[in-house]
Amino acid sequence: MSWKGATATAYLSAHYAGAENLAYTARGLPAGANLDASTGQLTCTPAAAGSTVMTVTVSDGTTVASHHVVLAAAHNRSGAFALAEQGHDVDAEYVSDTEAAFDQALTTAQALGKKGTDDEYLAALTRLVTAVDGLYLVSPHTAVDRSLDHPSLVVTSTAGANIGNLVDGDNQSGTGYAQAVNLSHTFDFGLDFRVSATRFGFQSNIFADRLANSTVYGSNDGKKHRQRVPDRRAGEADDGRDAERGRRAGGVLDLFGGAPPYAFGFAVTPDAGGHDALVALVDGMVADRPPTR
Amino acid sequence: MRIDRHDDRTILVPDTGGEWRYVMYPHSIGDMLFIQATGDRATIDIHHITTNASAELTPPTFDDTSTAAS
Repeated sequence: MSWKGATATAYLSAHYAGAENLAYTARGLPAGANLDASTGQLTCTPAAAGSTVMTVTVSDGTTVASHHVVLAAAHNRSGAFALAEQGHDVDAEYVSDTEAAFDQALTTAQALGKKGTDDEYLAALTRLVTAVDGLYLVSPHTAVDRSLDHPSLVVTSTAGANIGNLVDGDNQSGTGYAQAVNLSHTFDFGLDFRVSATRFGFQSNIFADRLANSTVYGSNDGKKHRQRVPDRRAGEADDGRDAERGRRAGGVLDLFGGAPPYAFGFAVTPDAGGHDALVALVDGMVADRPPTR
Repeated sequence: MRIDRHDDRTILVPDTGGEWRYVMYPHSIGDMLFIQATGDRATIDIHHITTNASAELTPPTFDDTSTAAS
């Protein structure tokens, strides 16, 4: 991100634990831009305002990785401010420390907007872009069904690396009994957050009734769990695929009444008969609480 | 390459100049893996999939979020 005539520098270097020399290449490099083949350092002096997508690739001779890099240039300094701020939604509710970092970066950039040198201002705008990237929504929702995107929120879960499968809209992917602990899956949202949910949904990969009698529990401390969703009956599916999905589970669940800390986890106990792919969708809100540390 | 029919699971494959190279897929894979190659007149040959990549390769990786920018 820059503006016409100002020289910007970005470090596009990759993480690498190997011993080979890395080589960086770019496709779609616009005029006025240069990528250092050995360090990945990009310098760019835009000749005109506008946005370009280029592809930067790194290789160690065995494995390659590529990503898109957007070069955006504004007409002038104030235009660059608007570009840097892009992605911040004034109406959105962000996790408090990420929003505080954004506010600070915004204030700094604003202060340098008029009197700062080009270099100082560019550095401040870079920090602002980084702060925008660092903004975390308190309650992100999945594009699939607008349920809570809990994979991006939980601190730990029994689903491990498979947790993303639970909200991908595909009933052929998920977690399963092999990962369950005591026939349960636990999702821990950590100490700094409180969770309330209005609905839980499950999706089976084959037979919906295998998830019948699933029960959801909530806990503030990970030790004592209170049942939140009553046993469900099998066979209320409309098509077998979305079987248990989206069914109301009895009003707003008040998961908290105890004193802090508000650790939260819920366990899903599938039928002992079978639980091949368990897809849990939590619909609700995660409330931000300032860290107690 | 679009993996497992998910738009958010794509691997951007660069022009390797006709050389065999590995690309990393940082997700678990199931019993069946769908791979769809899209692009502009490019050809992608797949020789094999190594399932023990974390032990056998030291792949360079980019940060997902832009370190961005100025």
